[in-house]
Amino acid sequence: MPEALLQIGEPGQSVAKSACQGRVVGIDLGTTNSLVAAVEGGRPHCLADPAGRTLLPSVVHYADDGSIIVGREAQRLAARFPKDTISSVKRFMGRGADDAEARRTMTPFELASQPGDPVVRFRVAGGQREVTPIEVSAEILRVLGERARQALGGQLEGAVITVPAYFDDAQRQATKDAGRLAGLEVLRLLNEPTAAALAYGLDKQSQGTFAVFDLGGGTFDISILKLEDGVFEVKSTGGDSALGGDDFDRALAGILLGEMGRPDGGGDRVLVRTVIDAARAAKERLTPEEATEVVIDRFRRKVTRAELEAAIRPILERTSGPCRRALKDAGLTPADLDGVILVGGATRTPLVRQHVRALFGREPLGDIDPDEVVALGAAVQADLLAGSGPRDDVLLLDVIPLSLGLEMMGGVVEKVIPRNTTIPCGAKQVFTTFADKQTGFDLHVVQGERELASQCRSLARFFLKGLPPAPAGVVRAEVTFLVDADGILRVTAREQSTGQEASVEVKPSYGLSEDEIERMLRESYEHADEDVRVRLLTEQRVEAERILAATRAALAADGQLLAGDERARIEQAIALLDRLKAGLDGGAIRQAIEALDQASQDFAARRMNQVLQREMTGKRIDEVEKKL
Amino acid sequence: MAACWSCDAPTGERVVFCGCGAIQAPERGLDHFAVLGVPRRFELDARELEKRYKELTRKLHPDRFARADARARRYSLERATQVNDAYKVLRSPVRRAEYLLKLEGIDVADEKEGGKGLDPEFLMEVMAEREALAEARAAGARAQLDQMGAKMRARREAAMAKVAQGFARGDRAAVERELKALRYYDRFLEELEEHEEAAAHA
Repeated sequence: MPEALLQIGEPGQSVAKSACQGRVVGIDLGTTNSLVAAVEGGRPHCLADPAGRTLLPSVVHYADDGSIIVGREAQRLAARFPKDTISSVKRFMGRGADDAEARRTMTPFELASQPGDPVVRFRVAGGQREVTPIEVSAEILRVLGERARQALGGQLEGAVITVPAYFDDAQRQATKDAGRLAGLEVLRLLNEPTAAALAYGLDKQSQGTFAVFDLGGGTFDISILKLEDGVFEVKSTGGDSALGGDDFDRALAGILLGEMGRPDGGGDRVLVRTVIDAARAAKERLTPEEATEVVIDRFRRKVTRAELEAAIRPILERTSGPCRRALKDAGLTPADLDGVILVGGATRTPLVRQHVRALFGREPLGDIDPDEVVALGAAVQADLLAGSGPRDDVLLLDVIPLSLGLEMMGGVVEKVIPRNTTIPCGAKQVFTTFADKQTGFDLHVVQGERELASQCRSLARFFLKGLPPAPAGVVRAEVTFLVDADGILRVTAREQSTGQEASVEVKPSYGLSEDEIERMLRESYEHADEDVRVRLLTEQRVEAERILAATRAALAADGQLLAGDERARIEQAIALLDRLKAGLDGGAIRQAIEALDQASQDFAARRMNQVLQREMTGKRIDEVEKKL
Repeated sequence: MAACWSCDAPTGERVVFCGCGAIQAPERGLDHFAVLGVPRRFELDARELEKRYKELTRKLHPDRFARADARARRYSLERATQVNDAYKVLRSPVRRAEYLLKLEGIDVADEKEGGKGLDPEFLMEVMAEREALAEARAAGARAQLDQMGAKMRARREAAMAKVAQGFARGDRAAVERELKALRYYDRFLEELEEHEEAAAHA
């Protein structure tokens, strides 16, 4: 009977893939630091490098010789090679050259992109290479992925990567592309505040409504979340994707530079980097201390906490508006909240805690390390998605952070999906022609809360062609917006007035085109080949050294076992390997190793016999066998 | 009879999951009430509706299918989108009422229909009130603004009560009238809120 056959189904169409063999991780791809965490034994924990450190500085150095260095090493090189060492790259994710331009004053990097370019490009490696923020982020992700493979043993099945809740579509797309470029399967993009709440909520089995105040290195997020019946619902979210602890450092650095008589650094990139680093260190010391001293060469200055606070207060004040708006969007007042969660290294600064306390009228929670809490939550979500956790009943309901709309006549925006709509979601809008015999619709998709399209972020433009000629107002086009669970948008337009359908699908990927992503992926594979070659070469060299040393030692000890021509053959092979081992041809080294091995096989056998004879004297055979 | 795409067993109408566990393709053309499986009427218990929504979402959300195959993932995405879109409309009494009328072919939100069916006196009154609002905003008359807001919220509540009554009596015309009036009240309150927000910023 065909019954049994029918149950087999098409390949790859079984309901669920077989139980996962590999591991899943959560990654916090931060502006200043990045972390990777995994759930083991039911609890999330951050994975450390061999030196025991969990924080990986989000810094990538591109050296002249083509090598790429990530993390603390790169950070150390930043002052000496400011142009070749990219830090805070998250600020540039999904951004066009014009966006970045505005923040260039204190940026030590050299931009290769021209005004108007849809993507930022940094000129690095002594001017030899151009890289995009996506590629830079991919380097960081690659290191974290490798760390996870080492720590957990085995392949990675997938990763959840966190993004600020306030990231728009282009920034999310860029983050996902970076994950892909790093060879990770991105299971989900997760909003950072949601991740934090997940880390807190699950640990404590909380119910209630929480605000998550997340002030990281470069981004600020505020989210209001409701935890109930195992469902984490994001009620509202807001923030500023260009506001963070880095701005504190820059504010203090600005004061220091001014006093050094070099406002804005005067184009001296090394100086700017050095002063910003000194300012950051001073800011950190001023958390436990009331005063500290900044020393840069011969410049010495005492800085008090009060001075730092005066410098950062205006920046911190910019968080108040988004907080009030988020509360209002959720229909709540501060008194309705059950708690406020602090996330991000910048929330260690005493003034920030004070500010949060004043804003929400309560003492904020901070008992999970604010640097680790997001990665821990992402690991929990990854575990939930992998379906291996015991908390199958927990579910996250996220929202889109900014309204999505279309540009209408006159440049005004028609909102199609308002902000804070639960995702996944969809919406349809019908448009009619405004001119007689109009042949197409020019559709401009934007994201933002402003009235004019020019003030919103442009996500995609496309043209729906081939409309049947008809009087104005007769032809109707239906535009469909679909936002998936990662918060990424797809737009489809369809003309249907005459039954004839024209449809265009746009996957907005502001910044990089699909072709470019493909090219980068290809390059990374090619580099992977190269990496493999380099590793093989290194291994052959090590092997060559080992066999050379062993053979020479053997010749010195037992050379008398060889006839003259035998010894000459071995020495010839030694000389050949000695000459080739410094070269770049791993295959040739391998051959020379084999040649030496061959030439010395008889010699090795004779030495073995000699050992056996010595050992056998006065011993039983099984003891000798044991020895062998 | 439809069959499951995964195991080929026959599936009935409105089946979300086949006996084999596979999520089925969403049905097209269902109204929001059918999607959430609640009766098609205005009176709905908010608490019950939320419970139903969460129950469905918990089963259908793409997070539940992160590692399933592409087809199951697509159906889950489509179904979760359907459920979210339905809940968005039904949870708001005003949108629910408008949606019920729309199902009957009456589009309250249609701009071109705008003032139709509304008492001209009512329209004059609303316009005068909007003007007063603009003046009070310009003058920054806080107490006056608060008072206007309270008055408008009270009118809004009364209109909502009339909507409910209209549905109960089957008086569609009354429902339509009140819903159109509600759009004016809501626009007024929105403007007031915008002002409050701007003031909070300053």
